Amino acid sequence: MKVKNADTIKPVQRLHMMEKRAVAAREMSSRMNDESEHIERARLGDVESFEWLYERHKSFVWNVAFRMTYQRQSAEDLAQEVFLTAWRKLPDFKGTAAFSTWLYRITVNTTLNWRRDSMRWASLREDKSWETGFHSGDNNPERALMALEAERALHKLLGQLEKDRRLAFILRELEGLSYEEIAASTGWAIGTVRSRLARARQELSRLAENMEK
Amino acid sequence: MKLDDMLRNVKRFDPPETLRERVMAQARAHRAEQASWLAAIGRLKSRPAFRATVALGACAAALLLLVDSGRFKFAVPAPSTTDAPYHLAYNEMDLFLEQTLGVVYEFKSMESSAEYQVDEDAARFINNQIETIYRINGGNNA
Repeated sequence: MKVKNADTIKPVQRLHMMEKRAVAAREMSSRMNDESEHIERARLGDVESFEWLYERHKSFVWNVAFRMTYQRQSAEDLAQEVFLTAWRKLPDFKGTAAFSTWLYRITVNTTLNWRRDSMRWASLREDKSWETGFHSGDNNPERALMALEAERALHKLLGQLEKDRRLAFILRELEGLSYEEIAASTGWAIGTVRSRLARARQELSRLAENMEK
Repeated sequence: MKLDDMLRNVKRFDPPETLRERVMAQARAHRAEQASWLAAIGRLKSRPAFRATVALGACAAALLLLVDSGRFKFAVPAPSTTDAPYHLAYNEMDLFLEQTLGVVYEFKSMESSAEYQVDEDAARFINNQIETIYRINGGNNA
């Protein structure tokens, strides 16, 4: 993106930018207030507020669960377990960390515990049932096909990664979490997060190259 | 396909509607369960017997904690010095002595009779027993 020099920006433009920023800040603040209100209500047992929180965070939980399992039924079981644990533990949520970080931690713990069952891991590696009903949300058939191909390749590659590296990779590269957020939700040191990610990337690049040949 | 291309082309998935239904159904069920527990506790709390039980339980728990932490000790019982013969109850012992002594006195008064030799061993045995018992009890008055 080309950065404009402050002198070249006209006063009207500057005013417009400031207004935009103020609106964004107001929106963000109101969103945060909304969330903290819903958290408070959900802590007291309000199911509707919990549903609001579910809608807000479902995408993260589902995508992590799905890419860790690549099986619709297992991902659904896993995501359900995450939300139910959150619902049960909500009264203990102190609010010292962000709600999202707290939920990330539950997701990570539940996923890693679920993954300890190596039988499930082994059986899922070759499972391609997730492709049935795959919908990328793109109406363009060419792009939809590319998305499916990319997902197939990713499934094959992620299946060969050790679970901690796989999780680190998903959290960073597919969910866009920062190193600090990954460290906070996994309990790993920042250095560990960095090294696991570096190894995961290295391993995946090598595997992707081999796959091309 | 290179890794970067792969990552550029993958899409985020939308969770199925069944997940929302399952999660909310479970949350409602859990809430109802919790509410029924709370109501049951609320009802119980108004009963004096329940309050008394809780108070008693709390006292017992506190006492257990004190004992467990070592701040409070029960009196240590004196070490037992009882040996095997003392297992006889005192009443039984008295009765035994009385009867035995009676037999011995009776026996001694028959010393001149013809049965004397026959029962000599038995008399000696009984005498020894009595002596043992008295010795154990702290005296030798047989």
